[in-house]
Amino acid sequence: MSSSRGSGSATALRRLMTEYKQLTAGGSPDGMFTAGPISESDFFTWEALICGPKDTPFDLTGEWRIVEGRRSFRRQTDFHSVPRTKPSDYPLSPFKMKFDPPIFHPNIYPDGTVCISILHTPGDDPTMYEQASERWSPVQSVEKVILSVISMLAEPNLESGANIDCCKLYRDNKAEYERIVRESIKEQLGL
Amino acid sequence: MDFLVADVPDPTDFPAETVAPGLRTLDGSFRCDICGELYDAPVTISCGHCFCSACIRTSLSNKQECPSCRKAANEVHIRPNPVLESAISAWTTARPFVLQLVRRDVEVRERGAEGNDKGNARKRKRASEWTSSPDPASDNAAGPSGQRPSALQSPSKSRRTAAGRQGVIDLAESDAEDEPVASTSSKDAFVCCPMCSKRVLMKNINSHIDRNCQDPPPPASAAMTWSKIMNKGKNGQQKGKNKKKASDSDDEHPLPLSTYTTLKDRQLKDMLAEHDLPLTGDRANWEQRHQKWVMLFNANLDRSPSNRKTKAELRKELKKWEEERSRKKKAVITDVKGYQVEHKAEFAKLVEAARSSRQSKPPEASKSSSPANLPDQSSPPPSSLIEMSNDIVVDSEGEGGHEKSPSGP
Repeated sequence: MSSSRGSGSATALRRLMTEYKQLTAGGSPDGMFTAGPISESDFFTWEALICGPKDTPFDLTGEWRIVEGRRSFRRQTDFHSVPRTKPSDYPLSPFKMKFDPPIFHPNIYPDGTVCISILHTPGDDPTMYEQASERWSPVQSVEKVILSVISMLAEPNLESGANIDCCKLYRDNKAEYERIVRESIKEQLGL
Repeated sequence: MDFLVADVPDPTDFPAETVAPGLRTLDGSFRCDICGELYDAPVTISCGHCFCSACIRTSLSNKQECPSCRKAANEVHIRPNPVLESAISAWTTARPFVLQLVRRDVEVRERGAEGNDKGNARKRKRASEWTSSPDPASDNAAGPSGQRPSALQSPSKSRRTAAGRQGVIDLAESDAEDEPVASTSSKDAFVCCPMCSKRVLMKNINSHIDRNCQDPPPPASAAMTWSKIMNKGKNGQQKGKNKKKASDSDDEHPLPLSTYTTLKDRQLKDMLAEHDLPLTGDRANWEQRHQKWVMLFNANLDRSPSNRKTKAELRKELKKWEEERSRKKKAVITDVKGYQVEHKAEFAKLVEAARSSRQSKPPEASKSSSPANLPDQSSPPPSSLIEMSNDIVVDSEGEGGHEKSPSGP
């Protein structure tokens, strides 16, 4: 699949190459994540590894040690399967992001798609709660989006929930929510 | 194509702030926040933010606000920024040279650090000694590899006064040091250029490096020089004349944005014909073509006259853009084996379907099965791609219509 999708617009490609180079050269702040294209032939599908933010159920510090030495989630940022927008429109239009496998979180759809205002174009507003100032703009970047997602992991936004059951649980029984998250993450990491 | 090793110039080409203070930031501040490239035809909008003309025009056609600060903005707010443009063109020229110098500087430092720390410390101190009281004896001792003295013993007055360029000179010397430098301290001595290792007169070495190691232009006669000076102002006009030749009209005014939904097909065709644009494709193509043309044309006007492209060049650019767009709809399969593995299930289904149809129609089977099979095999994924792009085309039209209407004249 990847090979057939290697040709995007030149602008998008160059911009992504620049971003990738800066991410590899500069690294992420505090080494919280790494990101890059999945394969060498396709620059429009990226994969990112994120460390769970500290003091959240996504952070397994002190409880589990993982063989590779990283507490991380696999997550795909797919510049292609963006509904309603051309992939080559990046950076005019945002990309789409998905946790693979999905994680249990109020702002993440059960299929893993991330619902976050920074990835919504000013035109559409699925939840009617977001201010235009939080939306995508061409000066945003992969790095900024991932940082927003990390902060979203730490502090879910219950007003614009994507997983309603999870929202309810988070509001009513936070301890249970945290337990479920821990369990599912342990399972995903094969512990 | 191997994207991962492809070289994209970006600010991280320069070392971190601690090594080369300001250079990374400088390079970053010369870049458009939208495309990440050095500004091409930089323009400012009402909030003061700066972008490439083409980038901000495309962005404003999507959403009428500043991408950086989200203040309301409009195409009419766009103002060219010629000062920044000249700064960019100077930086474009200087960048490779500065990079080279920086790399050398880092190398020298590393070599010095390997040698001995003491020598390194002395070397750094040398900068102050050099301007106040150049004492070759103390410097001799400080040279990390003992080669230093030969270069240091040939101080020329011009070099000593050029305190600001010491870094440059140091580097130049450090690489030329193994060459038999004539230490006669006369300006007529030859030195080896640190970049192209060509022998150049000492007094010419600076201008030689400034010219990127190109041979000096042949000495111009006084008459030629004068005519050059006199013609300098006309340069833009000459370009204008060339443009006139290449195109039909010499219009310096930006084209207005149009609201295509209210136009009849014929009017749209006329608009395209007015600029010698092709009439291929359907109405959606025409609209996109015209919109892109207006964008390219107006962005071109934001360049300073000497940097402007001719209409023919712009047409070529438009053509390239359209080809890129249409190419995306076709799937190119490079990794055949991977593709086969990936779509094995689909192939199996197709084969199954072909078999069953062959059983039902045995006489035709021999003719139709193999030719029908081949295109079928490659068709499913491309068709899904086309579907996607079709959706998109419809969608972008709709959006374009919505966005356009408020901005229309």
